[in-house]
Amino acid sequence: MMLTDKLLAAAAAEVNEATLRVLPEPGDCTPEFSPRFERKMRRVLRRGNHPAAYRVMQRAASIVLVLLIGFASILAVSPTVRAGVYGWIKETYETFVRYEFPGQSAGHDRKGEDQTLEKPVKYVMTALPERYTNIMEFEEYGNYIATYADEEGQVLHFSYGSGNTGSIYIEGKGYDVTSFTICGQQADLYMAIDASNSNGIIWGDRNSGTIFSISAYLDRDELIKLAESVRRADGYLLTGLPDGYTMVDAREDSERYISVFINEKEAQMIDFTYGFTDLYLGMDGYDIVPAMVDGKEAELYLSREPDRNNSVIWSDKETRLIFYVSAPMERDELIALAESVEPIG
Amino acid sequence: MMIYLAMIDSPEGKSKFTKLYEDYRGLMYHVAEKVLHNHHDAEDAVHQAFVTIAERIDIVDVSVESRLRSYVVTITENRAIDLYRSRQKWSCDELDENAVGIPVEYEGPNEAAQCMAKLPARYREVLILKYVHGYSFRETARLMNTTEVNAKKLALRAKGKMEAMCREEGIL
Repeated sequence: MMLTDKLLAAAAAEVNEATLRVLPEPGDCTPEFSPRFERKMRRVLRRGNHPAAYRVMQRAASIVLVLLIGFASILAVSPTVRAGVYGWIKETYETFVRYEFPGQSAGHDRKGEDQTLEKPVKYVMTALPERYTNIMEFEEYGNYIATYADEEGQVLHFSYGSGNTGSIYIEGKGYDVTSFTICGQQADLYMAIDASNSNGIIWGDRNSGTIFSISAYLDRDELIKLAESVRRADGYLLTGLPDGYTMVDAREDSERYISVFINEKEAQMIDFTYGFTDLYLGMDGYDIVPAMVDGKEAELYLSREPDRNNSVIWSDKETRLIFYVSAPMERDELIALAESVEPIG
Repeated sequence: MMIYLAMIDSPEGKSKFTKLYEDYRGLMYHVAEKVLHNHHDAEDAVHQAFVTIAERIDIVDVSVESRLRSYVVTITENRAIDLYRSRQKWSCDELDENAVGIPVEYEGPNEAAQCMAKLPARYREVLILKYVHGYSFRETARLMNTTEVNAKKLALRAKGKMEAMCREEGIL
């Protein structure tokens, strides 16, 4: 006798029913999901609310990019002002301002090695207000444009690019422009004189040679906060950062990402670092004790001096990344902060 | 995670997914937790299961509740086992032979079903997807996050193991 498909089908049906019998009714399962899970699923469901607009706007994005490139070649003829600031070139034309990092183009690293086959780095705004839905996304040659809209139809544009192909053009008239720094990088803020126009912010990361811009109907502080939240999509985020902390520095290279947050009022600092390279920590004045972070072996560096931060360091065997968090917190609070580290993408 | 719901491009697909999410996420968590015994990992497995479901929402049949329940349970168990495998650093073969899924107890009269219930979880899953849900090897492969060739191999091994068990029990 053979094991026929008919016999298998009958057996499979019986086993399937037996499997379901040992499980509770769906309505009886009410687990408490973590905020992390809920957040991730909210993003998924929100994204699915405008599928048709997404497809239409993707086509529109191609047109916008073509127009932008065409316009760029006309504009490049006669700049009225050309200035290099903090490594980027800012050219002021009659009605437009152009920004770029010279000598660097998408796909080339800072050492000048040809890495044209390297996958372009993708960035995301990690603090995008929930009311915004992505309706368009376009990426080519390391240049990226995304458009979001809120419930009232007010749009927000986020773009970035590097090198000659990644120049960004800003309409220069009708705005009050102020220069400052974002996470240690040069930035220009464009506040519209006419309230019916959106405001904009443009900043550069001289480490990666990337220029970013955001334009939206947001006020100064909201725009800056959003700009400060931009991270590599393949990076990690310290989601449990206590209130009152502001990022004052963010640096990354091919092997390490370092971010520093300060609470000015309390004069306290949190350091979050991860990367593939070894980290060297001073041992003097610390008790080193084993701990667990998210089920991974970790070491706590507990300071014997009360005014110094405690630290925790752990590694993820799967990704081979080493993580480090230093904060003015006691052991349990520090571990909870470390466990709030989440992959961005 | 960022892309997969954009793949659901019809209003019908969207509402199907939303309903599925609202009605079954608790059960899916229960299944994942049974396999992984860890809250954090179970959530990750549920999330991965939704990724798979969203990508193939067009083939999800919601007309028969028991089939839908079987579908989400099988996908979730499979994703949970995949996650367990990544934690254990098992090879695919080790996974197929050793993975422990939902405990299944069949005490009915069908002797072949008694053998099938004792199969390793991955073998049971591939047979249920094929013989209960009627999916092709291509679809089964997508749902099990593997290649079509591997899905065929998995089904062959499952049948081979079941046949051996049946012979041992004197059923064949």
